[in-house]
Amino acid sequence: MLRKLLKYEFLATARVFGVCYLGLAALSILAGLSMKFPATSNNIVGVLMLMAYVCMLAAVMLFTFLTIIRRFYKNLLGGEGYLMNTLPVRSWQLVTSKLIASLAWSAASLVMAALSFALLTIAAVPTFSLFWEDLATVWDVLTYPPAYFELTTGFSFWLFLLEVLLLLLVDGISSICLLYTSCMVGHQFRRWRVAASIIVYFLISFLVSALLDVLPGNASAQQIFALADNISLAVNIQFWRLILVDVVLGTIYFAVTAYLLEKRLNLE
Amino acid sequence: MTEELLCCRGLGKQFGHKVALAGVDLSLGRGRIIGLLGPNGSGKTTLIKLANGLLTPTRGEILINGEVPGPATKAVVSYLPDASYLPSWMRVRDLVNMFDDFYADFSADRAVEMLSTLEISGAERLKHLSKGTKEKVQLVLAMSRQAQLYLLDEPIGGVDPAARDYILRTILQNYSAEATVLISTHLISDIEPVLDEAIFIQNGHILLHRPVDDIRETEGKSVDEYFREVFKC
Repeated sequence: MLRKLLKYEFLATARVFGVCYLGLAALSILAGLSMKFPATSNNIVGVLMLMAYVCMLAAVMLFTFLTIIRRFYKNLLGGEGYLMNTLPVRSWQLVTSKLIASLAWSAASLVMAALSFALLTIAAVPTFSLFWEDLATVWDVLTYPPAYFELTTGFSFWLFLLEVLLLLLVDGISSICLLYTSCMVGHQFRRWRVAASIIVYFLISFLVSALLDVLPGNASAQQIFALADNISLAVNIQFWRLILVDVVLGTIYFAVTAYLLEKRLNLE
Repeated sequence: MTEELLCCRGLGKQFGHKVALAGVDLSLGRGRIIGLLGPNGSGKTTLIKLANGLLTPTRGEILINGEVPGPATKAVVSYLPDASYLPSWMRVRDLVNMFDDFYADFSADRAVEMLSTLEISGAERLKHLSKGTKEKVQLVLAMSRQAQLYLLDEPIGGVDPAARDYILRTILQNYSAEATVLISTHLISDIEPVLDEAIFIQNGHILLHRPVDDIRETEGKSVDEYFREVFKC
């Protein structure tokens, strides 16, 4: 059932994201090209195109964020909720399908952003031979950090990268689940549901960050810093603390969302 | 299947101060067509939404085959909402595939056959269809399932008389003998010929639940006339 839900979730969103990404790619190439040919010493067109590209980039990120919210709110709590909530599926499956699709699109948007920047720089390179030289430089630049990293910190670059990616993942999950929880809690009010959802979101965010400041983990991290002669270990511990916090929060947000969707739904 | 198909015990639903349903006790048997009849705002839609798990009861309970509304009951209940509820970007054939994917009792062949009789193209997106055609698509999808309970909320409300006849014939032809069809409407004269039982509901209270023949014999008038008498303004 989850796979089927995912299939229709991607079907519903693929076209619109595809158009966005194509637009971004096209604009990045145009912007790069327009920087290649300075007609005058002040390249107005190039600057404008670059600004347009940056705006488009921001727009795509904003669009991704809004789509994540909209897919949950409109599809599960709006008119389409009459379809989705009468399918013979469990509410946690509905939430999971939305979560996985949201994560996928978030990752895709980030990758597209990086790709579009690459396209821009490639398009902006003056000559082709320079392009290959540039590529070699880029490769050197990319492969330099791991070696440098290990030299200075005595810590494996790839393990570090893995931890960063893992943190990004669980942080993404808990952030998205918080959005869903806010929608479901706001749904419990009869009127001003959207306003309630927004207020709930900020309220929970504030409370959680306040709680984390008070939590012992913070202090003991400092102590660890003092004790550890190995900086990498201290950094490691901090990472895992953050990952753990996100896992706990994400689980709570998910459970609350699924529970409210199953037991406290009131579609009007 | 020894449990009642649908059972309400002291079912109540309140929206703030407004009481939509007040302590409803109801029991629906199998293999009959039942009319849920009442004026606007009487609680018909609320009752149907509660049966589908789209609303949470304020008091009491509603059970289908002895179970609280959930995936198991949704698999055997076919629901036709009053309003447009399907994603408008989807093509008709996408919807047929979707229903086929999720509902084990859905017959894609039957759906395609009915759609072609109605001359509705599978390639059309819902948003390009007229309101009446959209309603026909929704009805075809609902009636292409071999469900145990069909909950049709105002299925003929916004539809022209010829289409109304088609819809009623479709309902009669497509539901299985062991299934129950609950039709909520205020257009009684149109559906009276197909009804086995009638439920009168007003202000969230069930006024009566009797076989239609019984009403006609006892009151000496049609259900439509009796309805007008009972709900006289």
